[in-house]
Amino acid sequence: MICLDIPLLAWCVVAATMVALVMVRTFIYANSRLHRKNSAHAGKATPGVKFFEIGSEREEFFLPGDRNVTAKDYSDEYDG
Amino acid sequence: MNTMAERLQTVEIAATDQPCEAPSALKEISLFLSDYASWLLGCGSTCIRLEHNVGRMARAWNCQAVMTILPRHIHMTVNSLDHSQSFTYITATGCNGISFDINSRLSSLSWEVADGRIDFNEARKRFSAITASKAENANTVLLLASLANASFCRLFGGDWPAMSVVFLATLCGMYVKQLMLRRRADLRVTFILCAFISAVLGAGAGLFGLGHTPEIAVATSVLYLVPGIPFLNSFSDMLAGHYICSFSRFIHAVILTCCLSAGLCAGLLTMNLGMF
Repeated sequence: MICLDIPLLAWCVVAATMVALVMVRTFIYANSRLHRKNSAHAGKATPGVKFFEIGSEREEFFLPGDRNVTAKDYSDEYDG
Repeated sequence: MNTMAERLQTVEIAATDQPCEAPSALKEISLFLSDYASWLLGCGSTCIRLEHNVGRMARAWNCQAVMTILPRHIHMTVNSLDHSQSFTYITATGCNGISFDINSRLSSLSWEVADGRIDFNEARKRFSAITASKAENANTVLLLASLANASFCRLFGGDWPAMSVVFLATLCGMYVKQLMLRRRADLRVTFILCAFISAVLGAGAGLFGLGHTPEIAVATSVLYLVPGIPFLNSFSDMLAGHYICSFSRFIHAVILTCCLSAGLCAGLLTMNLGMF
């Protein structure tokens, strides 16, 4: 029945998202601990693996000649 | 030249029955009291407690402290008892998160100063130690908050299946809240999302026919988000006459409650549950 599908679907989506979130976080935590242990044995600091990262689009699509990103980069329209 | 240090030293020598030592300069006292006030207000203290604690310590160090307490800033003026010297400092309220532990320990510190058990340097060391102490374990808070919310469900007449559903719904919602706040997400968006998640998961009791009180499970699944401390502090400040802080806290609490309600309503609508 349509009236039951949406609530059930919503509940399953939320529950699955939560399970996936917990599993990913646990995996990342275990991975970073393993890296830290290996780095401690090797005697150097190694950054953990980041699967997702939020950054500026200029870091992804930089072309030679682009302006450097500064803290006072208020407007992209006026260069004067 | 009768400097502050000489006057304080004179007081220290004269008052041999006072065990506490006078601090070296008014500026140091002012900076210390400003930091102290900033931390205490940031940890969720009321304005009246802040006034009493700071005034108590200032009197122990033979000076007078007057404050203007605003929602985001504190204007502190510390002057000598004869008003010959004064120092004003403006500090921003710390965004430390509510902590009853730090609140209590800072209050105890003010009593120890007032009772003359510690001097200014020792007070500074203890203040640094208190503010540098680690926060409670996030997993412990997560577990205990979920248990507390499940207990609320029981208090409102929920049965054991409803309590279990509320426990899981709170666990998930609180986990997302901790995650988002750690990444400096906006508090209002966090509240809406967490209320939605908890409401949807809490509605699972009715969806799968678990227990006889599914409506109580839905209603109590979002109680962990209710901003109780801002509301209480707001009324306390109003009774003490600090209307600006009171109004600010009240508005903040109302906004968070509206966000919680928005998330809950979105969850109820998604799960096809009636609100009335």
